[in-house]
Amino acid sequence: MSLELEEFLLGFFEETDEQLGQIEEGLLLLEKSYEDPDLLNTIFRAAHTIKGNSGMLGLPEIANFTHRVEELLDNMRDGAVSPSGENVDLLLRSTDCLRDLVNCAKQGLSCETEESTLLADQLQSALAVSEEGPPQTDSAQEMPRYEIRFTPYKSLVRRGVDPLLLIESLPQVGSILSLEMQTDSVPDLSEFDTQKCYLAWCVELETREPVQSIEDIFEFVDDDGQVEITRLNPHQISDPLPAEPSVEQATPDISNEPSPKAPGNQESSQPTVRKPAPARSGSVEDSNESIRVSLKKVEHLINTVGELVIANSVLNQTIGATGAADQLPLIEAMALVDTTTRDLQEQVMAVRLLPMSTVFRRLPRLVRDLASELNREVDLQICGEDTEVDKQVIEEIQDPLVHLVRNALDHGLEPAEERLAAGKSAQGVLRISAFHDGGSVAIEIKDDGRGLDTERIKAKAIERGLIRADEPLTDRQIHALIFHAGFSTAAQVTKVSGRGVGMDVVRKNIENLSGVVELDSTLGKGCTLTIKLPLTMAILDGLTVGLAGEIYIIPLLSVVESIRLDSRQVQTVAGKKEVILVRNEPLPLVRLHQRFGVTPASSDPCEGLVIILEHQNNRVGLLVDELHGQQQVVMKSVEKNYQKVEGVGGATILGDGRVAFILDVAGLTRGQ
Amino acid sequence: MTDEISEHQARVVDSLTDGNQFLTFTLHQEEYGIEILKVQEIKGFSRLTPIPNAPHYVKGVLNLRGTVVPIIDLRSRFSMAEKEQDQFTVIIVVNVGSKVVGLLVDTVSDVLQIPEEDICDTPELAGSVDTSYVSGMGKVKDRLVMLLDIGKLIGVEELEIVEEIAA
Repeated sequence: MSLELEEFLLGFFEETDEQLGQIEEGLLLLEKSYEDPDLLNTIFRAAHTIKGNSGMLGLPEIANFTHRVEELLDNMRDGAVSPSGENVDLLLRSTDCLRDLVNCAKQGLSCETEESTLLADQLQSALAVSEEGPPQTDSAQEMPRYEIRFTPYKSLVRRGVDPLLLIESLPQVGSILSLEMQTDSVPDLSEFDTQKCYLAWCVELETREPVQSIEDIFEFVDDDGQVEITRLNPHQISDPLPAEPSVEQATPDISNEPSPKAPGNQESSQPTVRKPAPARSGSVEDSNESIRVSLKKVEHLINTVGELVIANSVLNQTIGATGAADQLPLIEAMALVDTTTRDLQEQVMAVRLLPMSTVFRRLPRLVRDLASELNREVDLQICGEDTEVDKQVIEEIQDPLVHLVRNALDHGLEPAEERLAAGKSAQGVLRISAFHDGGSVAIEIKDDGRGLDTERIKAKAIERGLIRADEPLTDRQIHALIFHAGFSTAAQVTKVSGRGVGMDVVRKNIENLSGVVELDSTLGKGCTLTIKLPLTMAILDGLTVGLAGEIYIIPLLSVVESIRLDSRQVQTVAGKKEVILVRNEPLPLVRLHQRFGVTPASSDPCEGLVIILEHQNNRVGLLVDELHGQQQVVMKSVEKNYQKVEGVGGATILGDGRVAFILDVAGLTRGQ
Repeated sequence: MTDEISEHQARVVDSLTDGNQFLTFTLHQEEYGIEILKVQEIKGFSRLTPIPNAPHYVKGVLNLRGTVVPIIDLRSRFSMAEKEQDQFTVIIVVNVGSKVVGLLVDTVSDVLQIPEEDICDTPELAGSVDTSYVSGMGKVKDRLVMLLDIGKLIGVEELEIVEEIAA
């Protein structure tokens, strides 16, 4: 049971996250165009589902808070309260607060924060005054009593609903006066099916809450049983368990009450269910008939298929070696196995991919809040939401992206007056796009703001002691300085950015995803940041090189070119550091054999091969023995069973089943 | 002869109910044992990929059905003379915590049931012999089997290195 509940909780957290996203998205739209009843219905329904779910799972803080939100939304829907900017703002803040509450619940804490109480009060006071009327007078008299007859269909249990949970959540609404279980339909033991529910309940409940809150508890058994809720007349109260006929006598005191199945407020929201807008259970994927599968299973699948690919190529090599290569049917069969295996691998890899929209969805809100806080006018353009990226990339890119957007708004785009003075339109354009670029995914953050001021960056860097005043640097190198730890050029530290912890963290995060950040900026015209990431973390395009009889893989993303040196190109600095001249650019030479402590085929750099690597605008030449070729490799962790190895980012398994190390370009270029 | 077989059978039956089972192997004619529950599988020796800048006793990594597994040469771990691999050389794949590690040994010999009362503490050995990774000595007939604490053998030192890096 508890295991099941845990599973429900996990599902709840995932769903709630999506629903909160929906609410937020809806509210932002609402702010732009008021009078859309469908929109309000969608928002309302999402809030309602959160309330229902959280109530059922025993998370009263969330349920109560959402209830307030829902009330205000309901008022808006009735037209009693206008969806003004102020109210929408309140709701947006409530959504944030709700997200915090959900996060607390996720960690098993039940915390009603100061903020949540404050917001709940504000929500209450934003309600139309009329709402306060009837319950107030009611409370002066006796508490209303309700009789709830809950007759589940026999299939209830099979649907995964535990009737006990429902009954147990009734005390959250009011106090139970009497509870009777009806066992009439329990069959003889011989006919008893353990997967069927034969019971029915009759509960008498005393509460001041509207009948809606009782209906909410039973919301999810709508299709699996009958729920009758009747308000009892004062004179009937003496009879705790009225017989069947008295149900008809009960006075329908509350307008939306006697409908036995569908709760009143759902009726009004029903028309929108048919809309393509995300339905009750939430996610976009759901409408595409998807299933939730644990990542572990997918990873296991990917590993197994990876093994299959390796076994396949071993088989191919064996056939080639044994001279069976002239048997045509065998060759044909192998070719078929080959293509099918590659196909399979590709498809399995695609399972891990998610659309970028999961990340981009949060941006409009962020930009809206920042724009008003920083007093900027921003036209946010988002494109390429459908671009699919590895799940891990999606998770890890969130923070860096948010940071870059903040930066663009704070440092990039100018205030309206400044823009007008510079001959630009008052509204700045922030364009965020994602697209596939060869084997990688590019995310571009482009603003038409002031661009990077190379002189200021240089001055700052000199002041901070990052560079010497007389150091000759190209613009590209100067721009790269902003990725240095502890560097910030914002004239004053704002709440939004300017603490100088930003860009280097962004760079680190992206490096961890084996991606690169590129920066292109023109003073006065704007700045474009491009994040290039591998399509998946699991597969990477690599250059295979040989050193001391072993094969190493260099991620192709960071390879600029490979050259054979001329002895005149190699020079030493201070007798130690070696520098090579490539197209008149001096680059440090890294001898991989020295780094790895192995004996190379030849220690003469002109005999070996030099691979020019670029990382974060830093270039180095890496000396290896020979170049083998290029191939896609499946990334494996070395740390998992061993520990971090300096200069090694991971490992892979070659076609012959051997392990080869993948070089960590960031580590090799750093400190040169 | 028959007695021996029945005795063996009894031992097997015993072992199904008792956890004190050890896989024994030899290193330089000495007999060692490790808890059998820690053993994942036994594998013949195959070519390893050396790890750059690894300690001398980490011989390299191996592809074990898609997992990269580091291989520790127990002879060099215990500062014994190294030995060329032959047809008896075996890799014992063990699970330590969440890690999978291979141990390179001369040969595997047996699975022994050693009752608790036959396991005695390691005597303090004078000099430079490090006994911290020996959890006890098992008495089997007239032999002594050194029982290794795999967690200590692999875990501690490595974890320290990891912590150093993290710090």
